[in-house]
Amino acid sequence: MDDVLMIGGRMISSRLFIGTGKFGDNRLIKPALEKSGAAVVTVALRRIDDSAGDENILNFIPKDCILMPNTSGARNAEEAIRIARLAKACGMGNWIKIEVINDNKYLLPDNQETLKAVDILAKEEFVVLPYMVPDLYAARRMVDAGAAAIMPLGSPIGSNRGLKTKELVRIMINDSSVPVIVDAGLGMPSEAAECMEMGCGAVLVNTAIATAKDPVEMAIAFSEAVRGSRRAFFASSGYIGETAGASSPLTGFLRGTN
Amino acid sequence: MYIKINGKDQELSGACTLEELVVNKNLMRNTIVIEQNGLIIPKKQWGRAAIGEGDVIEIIGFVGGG
Repeated sequence: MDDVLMIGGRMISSRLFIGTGKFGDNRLIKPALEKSGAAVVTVALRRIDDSAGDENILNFIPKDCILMPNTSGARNAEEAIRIARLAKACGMGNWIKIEVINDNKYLLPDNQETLKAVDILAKEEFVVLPYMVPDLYAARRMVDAGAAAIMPLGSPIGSNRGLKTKELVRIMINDSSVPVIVDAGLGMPSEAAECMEMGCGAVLVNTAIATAKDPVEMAIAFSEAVRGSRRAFFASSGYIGETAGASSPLTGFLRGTN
Repeated sequence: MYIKINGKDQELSGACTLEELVVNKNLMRNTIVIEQNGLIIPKKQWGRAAIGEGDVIEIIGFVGGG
């Protein structure tokens, strides 16, 4: 099957993106990424007092992964733009996940401020992936402003509540010329599969893997679910019936006269 | 000389460049970025970037995140 995910002019080998936050033991990050085959990995930017130690997060990320820093901590476009420029200046690439959040209870992104950041950063040759609340018009504006993909949330970050925004995401998939990547709230591989069976380009998972009883196994599980459900998206006829349709012949029964 | 590094007031005993600061703090230079008074200073300029009284310096790098 010749099915390639293209983002920012690059072929991305896995439709499972993985976040590196919340791992109880950072030494599990590398095997989780390698065994799941994840190609795009998110990180955050923070003040560093000691980067030389063994705990430097980059030590745990395979060199061939695409690093996607997020702008977490940003409360408005200006702060997101500053974080993005700092990330790029670290010299690890030009991908950026725009994350602008002002609400500490639900951690919902601010689409309006996110759009402003997309507009500026796309002109500075970033590969911009905005994290957003599913909204058709906001998505269109972000794509027009230069977003390389759009990342609507499934449910609040870290909640494991699944794909609660399904119908709005479906509308966005049908309308979008760039990949739609559900990011946040997916708690089980079945929920990632639900996204992919609908036509999502990829999913981004962090909490469900990092806080699993066995993060490496869970990363593999998500990876297998994403691959299988992407196949199903192409293979499915999409038929859903109102009544039954027998699976075995209705003639030749072993009784009476037929 | 008093400066602010990552939001905390610090005293520097003598003249210092950003390069010397990075070395003194034993930081992995390849994975960090430095902002001096709101400006990102490219790594190749750290050796020439003198730190002045009252400077506000941010030393920023990657951590785990989703």
